[in-house]
Amino acid sequence: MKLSAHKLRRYAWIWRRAVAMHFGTLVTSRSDFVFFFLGKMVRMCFFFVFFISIFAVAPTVVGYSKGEVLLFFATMNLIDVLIQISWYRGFFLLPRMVRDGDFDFMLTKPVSPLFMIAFHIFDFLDLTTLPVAIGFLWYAFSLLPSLGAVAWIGYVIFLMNALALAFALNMTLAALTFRTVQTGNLWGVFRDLMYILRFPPEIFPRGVQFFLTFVVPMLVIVAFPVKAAIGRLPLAVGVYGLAISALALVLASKFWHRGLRAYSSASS
Amino acid sequence: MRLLPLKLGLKIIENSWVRSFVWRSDIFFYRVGDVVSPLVQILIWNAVFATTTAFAGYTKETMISYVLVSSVFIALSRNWASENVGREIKDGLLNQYLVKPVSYVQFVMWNTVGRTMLATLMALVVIVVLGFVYREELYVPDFPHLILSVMIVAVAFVMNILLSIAIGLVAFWITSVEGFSAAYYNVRGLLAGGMFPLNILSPGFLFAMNVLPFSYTGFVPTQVFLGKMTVVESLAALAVVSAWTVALVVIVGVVWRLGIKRYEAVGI
Repeated sequence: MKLSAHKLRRYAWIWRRAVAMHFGTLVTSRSDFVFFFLGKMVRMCFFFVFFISIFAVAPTVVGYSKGEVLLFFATMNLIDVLIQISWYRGFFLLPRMVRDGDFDFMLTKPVSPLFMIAFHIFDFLDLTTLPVAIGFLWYAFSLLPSLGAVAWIGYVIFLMNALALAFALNMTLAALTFRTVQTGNLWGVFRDLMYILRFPPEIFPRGVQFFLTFVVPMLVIVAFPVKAAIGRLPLAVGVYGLAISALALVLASKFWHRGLRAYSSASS
Repeated sequence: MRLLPLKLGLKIIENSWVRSFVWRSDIFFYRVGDVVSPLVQILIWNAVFATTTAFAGYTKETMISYVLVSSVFIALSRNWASENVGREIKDGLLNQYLVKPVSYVQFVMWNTVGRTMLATLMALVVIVVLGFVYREELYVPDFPHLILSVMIVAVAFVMNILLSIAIGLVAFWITSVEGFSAAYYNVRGLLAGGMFPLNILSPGFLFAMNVLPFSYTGFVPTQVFLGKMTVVESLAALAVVSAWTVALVVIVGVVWRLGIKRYEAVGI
């Protein structure tokens, strides 16, 4: 798909309209905002208390200081919130749309179906938790010795890389919908794997670390930015992290388009 | 209110099993989460106990036993009825039950038993395997504590279904219960002691948890199992969870009668 300035403007306009329309549906149930926010806050606070309790008795965990372990937790939170806000809900709804036949409406529009599915829902509910996620991140960094410019640049680059890889993995899960319609629990597995990334990877046996780095590269998502920030990411492993994300994006895109060709619109 | 005949109840359970087995691969992926969560907790506690011998009155062995046993108990008592009830009211699907000679609340209870039983059986297989792997660390209770812990979980299972139905019935008054349900799902596992034993926090917090119903689905029966509560204390806990169950039977009945009066079958 060739991208021109005109096309970009058109897609930006479509995205703004989709965001506004979704916001319109959300404000009809304002209580959802409050309850969702409260639930998330309780969850985040529990994790936080858990970490504080552990470090009250243990000076380090698998060789990481309190600030470093908190940085894993805070980075996972930030990435999780950004994923949820941006595209997760849209992809997650695809199986239901396929079952109900609503996906056909996306196909009939003169817009990329991938763009429509991924970005038609901007999650305002999770947006409310973004300031708290940033607050946790700020606190984690405040516990660490001041970082140099290289560490900051590394952190930001691998944070972007993490979002690209997460998008590729989510696109792959969404594309599976065209093969097996019910994929709800596969998304649950993705969420579970995301949540285990709030801990330093060294708590896992070496085989699991290898699996989560090279087979299902979830560790690239959270561990790599944190390790880049604290200077524990070897250059070769960092290059691998960038390469695997690029490869995952290419493969996910192919898998999505193949899946789309297999789609038979059975529910309509 | 007349109780549904047992034969009809069993048929509802059978139907819920048949529906669940339509998506067999999804059931498999759902179970992965049952492995991930306790396994990660065990690994975390292994890392913590590498630097300390005791944590809030727990040794490494009792903490691993806590993780495994509480995972089983929480898996035994969980359900997802609130979301379904809320959606059926919101979308007007409740109508199909109103024209049938079946109590909707009782139908939901049987259906939830069916859905939960399948999930629980599979969760048990997973956790039994983990239990076998960590059999050296697993605490073996005496007979009275074992029976009392199982009795508390059995009552908590019914209590949890009633609680979920009560939350779902709120949809009679608010446009959407999705936020409410999400908050409930987010919080209940944590307050049940699914992430860590609740007694590592302050006594005031623990007292509040003993008053609320959530801890009786995980933390309390696990404490009984581990022999950290006397038989008298365990009987008192059984009385509290039973009182909550009776109270919820009344609450669900009242909320249903009030709600159905204002139900307008919107969505049909």
